[in-house]
Amino acid sequence: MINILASPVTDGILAVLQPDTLIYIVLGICIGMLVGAFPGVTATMAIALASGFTLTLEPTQGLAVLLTIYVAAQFGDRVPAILLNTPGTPSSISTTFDGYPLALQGKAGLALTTSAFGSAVGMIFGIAILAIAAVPLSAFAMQFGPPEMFALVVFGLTMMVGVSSGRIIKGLAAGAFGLVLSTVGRDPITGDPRFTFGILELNGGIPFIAVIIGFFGVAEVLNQIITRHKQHHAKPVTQMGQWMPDAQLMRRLAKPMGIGAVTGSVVGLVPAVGGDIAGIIAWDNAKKTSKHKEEFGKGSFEGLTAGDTSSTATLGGSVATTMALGVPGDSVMAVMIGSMMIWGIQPGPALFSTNPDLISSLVTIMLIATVLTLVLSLLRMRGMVKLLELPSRYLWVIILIFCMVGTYSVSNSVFDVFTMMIASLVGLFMLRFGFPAGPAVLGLILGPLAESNLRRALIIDGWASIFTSPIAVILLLIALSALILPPLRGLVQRRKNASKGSDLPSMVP
Amino acid sequence: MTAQSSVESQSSVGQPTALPTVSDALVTGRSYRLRELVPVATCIGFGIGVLVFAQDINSQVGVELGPAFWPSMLGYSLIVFGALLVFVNVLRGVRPADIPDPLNGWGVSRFCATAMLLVGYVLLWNVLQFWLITFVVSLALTALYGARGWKAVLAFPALVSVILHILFVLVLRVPL
Repeated sequence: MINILASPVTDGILAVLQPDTLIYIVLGICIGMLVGAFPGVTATMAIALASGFTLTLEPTQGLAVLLTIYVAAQFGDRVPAILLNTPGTPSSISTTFDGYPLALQGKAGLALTTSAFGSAVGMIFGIAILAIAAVPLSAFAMQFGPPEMFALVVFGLTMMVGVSSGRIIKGLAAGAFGLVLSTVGRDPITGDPRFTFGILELNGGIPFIAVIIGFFGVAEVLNQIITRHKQHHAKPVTQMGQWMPDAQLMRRLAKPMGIGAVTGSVVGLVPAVGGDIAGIIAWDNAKKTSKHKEEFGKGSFEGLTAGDTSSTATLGGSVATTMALGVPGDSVMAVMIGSMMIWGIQPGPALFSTNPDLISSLVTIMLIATVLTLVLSLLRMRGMVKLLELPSRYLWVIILIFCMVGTYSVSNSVFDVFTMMIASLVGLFMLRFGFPAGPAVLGLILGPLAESNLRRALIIDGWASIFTSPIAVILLLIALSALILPPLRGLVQRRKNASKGSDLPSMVP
Repeated sequence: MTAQSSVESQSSVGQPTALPTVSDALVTGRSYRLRELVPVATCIGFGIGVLVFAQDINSQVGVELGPAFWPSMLGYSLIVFGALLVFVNVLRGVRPADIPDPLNGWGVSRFCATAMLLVGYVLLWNVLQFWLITFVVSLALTALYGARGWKAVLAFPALVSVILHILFVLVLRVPL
């Protein structure tokens, strides 16, 4: 637990309470709410885009913008999930289960406000986890030597691969591809050039912000451009009905919110497991313990709030593992690590020793962002519904132009822009052929850490140095089980279904 | 729409991908499985390429595990993953969520036109005024994507140009 009277704590809080930082927080909220509200624009894409222009800011201000976008997107994405049955970001998948049925029943207003309350409760719970767990976690990780650090990187990578929607081999290949990209430039130990092909700009390595923007920003837009035949817009539900929930409803929601907060906090601490999975797990847990199981999936406020509370509660844990271990909690945090490295902040066990005020800055930014976004979400804004009807073509133009200019602004380099364009073509190929981009980006960012620690460990005592370290062995075993267990579970399930003679429908005509 | 079907329906790009579910029966159509040979070839080809280029890495420092060790390890890994993909995706089948939306001719044309416009945009940054070239490219892209009417074709690009000029040129002082 942090000693709140210690000066780094107050320093961190005061750094956030500066007027200019507060303005950036408000800016981040506006961007985040819009990003969340537009289906097809994920928080990862928005943060990749924003990293282009935040890199010129002070670290606290830049972090304020990026973290606030992340927080606000978790509120904004509920709007299309409830009114359109389309999740604004993956975190709101569980919101559609009950949110849209509630909207169809004329309870859209209540669904939006209870969802916002649930999200705020989850977020505050997650922030508490961040405040409590981050420093002890980093203190524990300070004991890590090269074998443990290598195992930690492998653990982070495989966890991200393990949750890559069942595409484990392609996830591993994407991770290996990212690791290969990270070898371009100077060798981390000897300084010899590798894969530079005589191109001077590649001596410093592949510019990872450009790659991130290409993978998460332009590639997704290009895929929409080449596949959409016509603008097909579902009409959002516009009848809001009652807006604010009464005390009786709020009392009924206390239990599912509690289930969601606990589920999300635990899930959030596992690297690479995001709010989408946490929301679905909590929705299922709330259903099991509810007295009104029959309402779940047909319009249950309990299901709605359990999922939303859980998906936002992951944020605190995700930020904690990212900062304390240097292993991103999810793809958004992987992008954020890239920005932080440009600012000279290296997430990892030593982070809170070198930047003791950072933890209180992070907590303060997220708390202010949560409160302001909750207030904004409770305002009855008819304009939000209008936004859902905005055709995608305007978003495409904005995203493409922003990606180009944003990439250039990182280091005023046209080379970076062309790297981004090549990365977007590679990202498009990966999207079309089912390679997840998250592990590739993670490999690119964590590659030097993995390589240098593996080589140091091997030089010290060969492979024995890794397999005689209990921490490294445990991390590698968890990583291995994350890769092996999901397909095994699927295999067992398929055999069970086959033995029952169930004829499962294929989704493809 | 039930909860389950809602999860499964979000497989389009830019949307959440589906979680693996019991009902994710594999698609075993020949064309879908043959298509998976492209990722296989890419993995193996890229892995071989890494191994070939890794041999050209010359270290000036005599160390036990040189600069080529890690890339070579990754190259072999990629080849192994490519081979595994043959067993997992080509021989068994593809998950429905991994089948992308079909391409269409107009979409591919729009993609090519977009690529040309964006390359031209970058090359003209230092030739024309930033706000002017941004306005022209925004206008061309907006029209290309199907917008019609003066508000869409003129007012929107003008707004984009003004915002970008203020943000990047005036506030962030990016030399554009």
